[in-house]
Amino acid sequence: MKLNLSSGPIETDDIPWEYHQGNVRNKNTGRQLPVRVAHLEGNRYQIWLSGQIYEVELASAGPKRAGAGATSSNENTLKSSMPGTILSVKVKKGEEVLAGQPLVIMESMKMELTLEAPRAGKVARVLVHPGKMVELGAVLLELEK
Amino acid sequence: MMKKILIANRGEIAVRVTRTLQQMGLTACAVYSDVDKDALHVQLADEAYALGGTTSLESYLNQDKLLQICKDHQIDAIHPGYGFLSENAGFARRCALENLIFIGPNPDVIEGMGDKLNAKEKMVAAGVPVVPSFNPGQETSPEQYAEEAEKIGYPILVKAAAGGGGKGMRRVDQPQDLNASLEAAQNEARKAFGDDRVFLEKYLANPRHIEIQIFGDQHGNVVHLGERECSIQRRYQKVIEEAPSPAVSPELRQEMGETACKAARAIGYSNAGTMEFLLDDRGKFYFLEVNTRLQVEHPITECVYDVDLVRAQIQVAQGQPLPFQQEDLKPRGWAMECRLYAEDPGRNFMPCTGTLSVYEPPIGPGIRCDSGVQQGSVISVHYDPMLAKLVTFGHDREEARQRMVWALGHFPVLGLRHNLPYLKAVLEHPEFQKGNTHTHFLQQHQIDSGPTQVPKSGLVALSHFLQQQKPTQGTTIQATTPFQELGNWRIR
Repeated sequence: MKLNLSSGPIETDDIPWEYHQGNVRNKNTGRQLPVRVAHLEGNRYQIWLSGQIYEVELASAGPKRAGAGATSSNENTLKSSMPGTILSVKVKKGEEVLAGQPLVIMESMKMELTLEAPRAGKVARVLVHPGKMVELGAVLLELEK
Repeated sequence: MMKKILIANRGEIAVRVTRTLQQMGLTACAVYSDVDKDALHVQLADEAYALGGTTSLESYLNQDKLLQICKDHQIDAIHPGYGFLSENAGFARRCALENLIFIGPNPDVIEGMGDKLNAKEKMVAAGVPVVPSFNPGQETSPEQYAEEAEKIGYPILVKAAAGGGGKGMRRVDQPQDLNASLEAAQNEARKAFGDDRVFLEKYLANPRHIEIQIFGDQHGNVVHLGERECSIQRRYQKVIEEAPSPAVSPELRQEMGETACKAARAIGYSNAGTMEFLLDDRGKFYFLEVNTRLQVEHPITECVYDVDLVRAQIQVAQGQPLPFQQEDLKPRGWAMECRLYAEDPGRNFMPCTGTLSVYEPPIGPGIRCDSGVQQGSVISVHYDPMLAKLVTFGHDREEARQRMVWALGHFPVLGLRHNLPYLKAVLEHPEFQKGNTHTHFLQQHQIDSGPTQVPKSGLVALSHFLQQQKPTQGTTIQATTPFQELGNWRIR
């Protein structure tokens, strides 16, 4: 089977191992290693092989995402990295912030997370308030471009 | 006599208590929130009642609802587990008013030890050594804090009076940082405990966290069951524990044990409890706090003393005398415990959510796994991210350690990221192997458990997996992960 990994395609039929009931077995030596596989998120899969966990990403089926451009536009919005509750918002609209400055503190699974500014800039919009529950990936705050 | 016992908790501790209750011929009653309706602790119980709600406050902390359930179902006693209502004196009092047995110390002891300042005063009075500190009364000016901090000598710790679990705790290295840390600690303490009183304490360099398991009955008997070392901590959260401690000699064990028993007698302690100490490199120990409940890490004591602490809790709560005497309690062998957390070491230990699509706890000589989950369990954002405790036991430390390394290596857990590879890396670290553990171990040593290149044999298994999945796979695979969406935002 041809595997389209994000790092490039690979033909797994050429590999001298075969899957057999929870193990991979070397076709030549008979050596067996226990193995488990699970879907993690998006295109990512976890492979548990003989006690080690590896993550593998498949190449996306759809059009490629913009590389550097997407990253810089992301730096204008602060998104929640976890579903959780906003504990406090450290800045106001119009305020100038420095790179690394704490902007929002949120709580998830009894843990506090501090979200920091990636760059200096002016706060364009604050979209959350303390006590608000947010989903994963929700936009919390925007910086002026 | 007790017949029906309600376990006012969830996760692995509810499962663990259920097993002992059933072994004793008692009826184990579970409670559950809406999100936990399919949880393991509910499945295994003899009876199960809905609490409703999602958050802890709506469910496992809902005292009215819990007491109503007890009334409706002829419950005789409540086992609170750890966390939630386990150290809530008000709840223990309400139980007494309803003629329910609260399995734990009496409410006055819980209240007295729950207030860390008060607890320390009582310990000083009982002759227990404590770390130099400054405990203000009510209102104290920043100037006075600064003055007292100078007297104690930097570095110091600012700690919440009502605290625990590292909340409201700050380390201060120099005088100019004191005010900001006081404020931050007070804010955190107010939010976490509704009480913003803080105190100052001398900070010890590289101490070990050593705690003594104590047990009292209602007839004035108190014994100790030796120590547990819980030095491997991250942000004051314990990660790996062992019993006995490589740093505690039989003489020191006896001295610490007798000190703890003396203090426990002085406050009229009954049921299971733990006295936490810091042990410095000169063998001097200082009292930290008393935990008036069964600890998370109690199984390692059960291994080396061959006792069932939950069984003893039930017996003592019924008014029976302690099932063991001090002279019978001799430690044997070595035990270790690793806490499996749904936290991603590669992303600063952020809690992870998802479905445990693979979960196969190891079985073998000297291995015990206390799980709160099973294959298929959904890990939500609502509760503590601890999934299980893996415990190994051997004749000596190296056998216990080797068994742990093997057990961690034969425990497939997939579907979300977790700290199991990190735990294995700590167990295999040469300094851990030598027993050179202290509370800053994880900060001082680089623990590398990050992902590496997958061997080609693993890709064969992935191919097999994808072929099995094909019919349901479809074309709706998301192009990116939430973490990629985050861009360069840093999360601390």
